[in-house]
Amino acid sequence: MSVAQSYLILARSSPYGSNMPKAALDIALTAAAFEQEVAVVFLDNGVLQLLPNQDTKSSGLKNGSKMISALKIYEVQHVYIHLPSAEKSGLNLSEVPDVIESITDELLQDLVSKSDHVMVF
Amino acid sequence: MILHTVNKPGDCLSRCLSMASQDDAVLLIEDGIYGAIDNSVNQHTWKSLPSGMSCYALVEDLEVRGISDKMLPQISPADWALFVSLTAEYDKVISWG
Amino acid sequence: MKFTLVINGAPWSSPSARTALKFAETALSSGHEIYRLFFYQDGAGNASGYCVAPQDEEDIPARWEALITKHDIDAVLCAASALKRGILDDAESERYERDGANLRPGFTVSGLGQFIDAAIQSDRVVSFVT
Repeated sequence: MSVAQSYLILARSSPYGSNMPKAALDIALTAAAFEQEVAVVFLDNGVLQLLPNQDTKSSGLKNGSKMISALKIYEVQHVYIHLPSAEKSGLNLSEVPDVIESITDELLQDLVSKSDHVMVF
Repeated sequence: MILHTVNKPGDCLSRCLSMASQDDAVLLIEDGIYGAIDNSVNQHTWKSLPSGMSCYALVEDLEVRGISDKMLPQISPADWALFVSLTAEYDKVISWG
Repeated sequence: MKFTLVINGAPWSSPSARTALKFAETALSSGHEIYRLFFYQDGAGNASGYCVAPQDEEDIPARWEALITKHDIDAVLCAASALKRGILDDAESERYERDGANLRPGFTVSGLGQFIDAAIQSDRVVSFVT
């Protein structure tokens, strides 16, 4: 494929409560694998996917936060956490992996405006 | 120029409106049309909307839910044909759910 | 316009599959083209040949099949979504040793890359979310 389109994935859902987080990640990873430009933003309840110390060992569930840290390795160019959402949720930014950048309302609106595809999960 | 579709009122609608700009349009569908009812909560939600924005609600969803005659004045009814036209007229569609 | 529609909701469980269906019907009757229908997550349920609709309700899977057949539309299910929800074609049914295949005629099962391809080839992508 010669045309690289830009994808903005808005991850708004909390983890483990629905299929949304995985659905979002699968689209992000597939778009990246097909050499599209991909940005993922954790927004609203989605910032809860970034809570540290998610302990899934005894549950048998897959730990969603592990894949998020690896997104950039899989060619997702940008992974953001929406600052106002983080503040509202009480998330401590210092506990969020370094690869995740902060994004303000203004910058997010700009991404929304400029991306070829904006998908909400 | 973006067409935003919103299928839930409340936080979903508020988040959409926070990301919408002057040249965009919003189409309420399914349960999103509850965000079109002329009540104090909705009046507050729509207050900060950029003045030039076009706002629509899908007629069929209004009718089945019984709120065709209870809409905020700034929201226009849209039939299926207009829904399709809007998706063609605007550069892209963002579906908020 | 060339449309790709992404259907994320199961028939009847939320309004979104029906909204997508009516949008598709209207787009086609307005003279637009549907490049691909992509069924993702619970949307895979729209392709089930085993759903039995109550007599007084719309048979959404059947209506999709009729639309796809009439207009020769490329209707693709995400394979991972389909498997999880028990929508199997002949090959998957054999591979996973299930008693039968239930994918409706007109639908195919493929990878998520088919969505990325469709997004590139289409003028508009419209997602119908739950």
